[in-house]
Amino acid sequence: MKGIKTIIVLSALALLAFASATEYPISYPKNFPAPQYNFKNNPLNNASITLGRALFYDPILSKDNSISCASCHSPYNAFAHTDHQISHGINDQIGSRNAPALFNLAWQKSFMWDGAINHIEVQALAPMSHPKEMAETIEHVVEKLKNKGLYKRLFVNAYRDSMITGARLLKALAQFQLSLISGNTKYDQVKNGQNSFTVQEQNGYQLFLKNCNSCHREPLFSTYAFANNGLSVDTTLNDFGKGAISKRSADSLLFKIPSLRNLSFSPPYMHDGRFRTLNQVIKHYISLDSSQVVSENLRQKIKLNANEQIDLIAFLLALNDSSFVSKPDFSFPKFLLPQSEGNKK
Amino acid sequence: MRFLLSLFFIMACTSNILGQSIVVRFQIEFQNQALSLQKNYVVGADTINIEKLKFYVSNIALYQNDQLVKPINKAFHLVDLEDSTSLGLDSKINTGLVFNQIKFTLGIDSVTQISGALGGDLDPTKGMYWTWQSGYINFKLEGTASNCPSRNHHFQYHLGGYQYPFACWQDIVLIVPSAKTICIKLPIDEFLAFVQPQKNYEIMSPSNKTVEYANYLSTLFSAQ
Repeated sequence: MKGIKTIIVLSALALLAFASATEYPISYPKNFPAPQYNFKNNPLNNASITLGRALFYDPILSKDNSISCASCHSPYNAFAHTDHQISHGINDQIGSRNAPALFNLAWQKSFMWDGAINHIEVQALAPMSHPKEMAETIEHVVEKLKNKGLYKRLFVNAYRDSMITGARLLKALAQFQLSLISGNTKYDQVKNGQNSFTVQEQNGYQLFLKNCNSCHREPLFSTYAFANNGLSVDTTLNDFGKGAISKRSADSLLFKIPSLRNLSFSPPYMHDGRFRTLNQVIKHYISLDSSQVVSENLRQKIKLNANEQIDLIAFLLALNDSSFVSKPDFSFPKFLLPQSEGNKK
Repeated sequence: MRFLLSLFFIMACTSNILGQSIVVRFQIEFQNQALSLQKNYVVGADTINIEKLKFYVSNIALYQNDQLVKPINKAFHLVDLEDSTSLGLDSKINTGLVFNQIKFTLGIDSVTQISGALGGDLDPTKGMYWTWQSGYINFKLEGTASNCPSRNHHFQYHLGGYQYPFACWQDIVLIVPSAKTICIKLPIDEFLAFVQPQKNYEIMSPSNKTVEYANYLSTLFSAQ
């Protein structure tokens, strides 16, 4: 009788494991372009996303088990890091850049402010090994995960066996981050015919189309290309962006154009977090003049009077996706990582 | 009977392989001897000690006058001097195949480089992936040279890069004799004589110098 019970329990567990490896249906607004990421060859599945979610929130990825991905990419901030110009990592060390928000990553070809990373599946290696972020090696993370029963189970669910490798860990982290799709703003609702702009927002939208859309192209609100937006070099950082990676002078001071979605949740702005408010950002753009070296799209003077600035900000606020930042599926997985285990050093 | 023995002898002296398997073996040398890690080698006024040597090879195949005869190993293979089993590759081969060249790629091509997280010998846990900038290290050589002016006299050559103008994977073609074992030699002392650790001791990113060193490295391979 005991044997039969065991078989039933094992069968149920096997079924559960199988069920959890089901395909995750991605959904995004109809007016979004085709994603850059090849979902056909690499379909998302629920078990891998769950594993990736646990890894994303687990400080086990850092050397002293104190810093998780979410430490600098909080769901409440559209997976950015607020309150700090520049993000801080292990032992309260300050890095050199403002952690970017994470959403709609499947539409991006390269990652980081300087585009140094060519594929989302290898992105996590950068913060994991950075001495001021997580200061860890992927080899050691794999060894730590092998000693955790939780991860043995999650890897079995995701990959049908308990083998833990660097590639599997990275793919699972990517799967969770690819599931972070933000497409339910007031703007999206207006485009779907479910809502309408106020007069102020509509006016701001027209100003946006005239002055901002060439770089922050709708509906993603970025081309995800690289541009020099005329910011002076912070001599305490001497960050030259893409130029330092490609070693081409033409790439000097080019930084990735961020999306304008979820701005209310993700201040400060710019790669070095120098602006706290949208007012400061707009003041910067209207202050640019012909003496400054900027990318082509910014060479024409941007003129906005005080009322137009307010209207533009009203439109930008219509790009906030409250459902994205509060979505339970993206939050800290209490059912996997209880605070007592997940966040202890 | 005498005729048959003569025939066997003649066949054995040609490029016809009679056995069922062929072994490709990488022999890393220093001063014409098999290189040992953690051993001091006196080179002029310098004392050199090699601590780490790893490199990727792929698409190893036998050719006859540039015509493909037999692929040996298409997959990416990490040669690691610390792991003696990584130095040899076995492959089954039909009898009677004739070949006079071996071709292989040293390093990782650009298509593979942009394909995300990969497993096996390409798993990032193998210590051959740059983390701050995407890309595999094709060839890694680390050690000390007594006249190297760096901290602890340490030199590190991490050769990699897949984007123009710093793409540095190398397609290598070697003339090979007929044998069941093909020994591919790489004299590391000649590479160090070229790069001069007394002057150039750190290559950690794609650059013109990386390409220059990788080009020279590719000329050092020979087969016998």
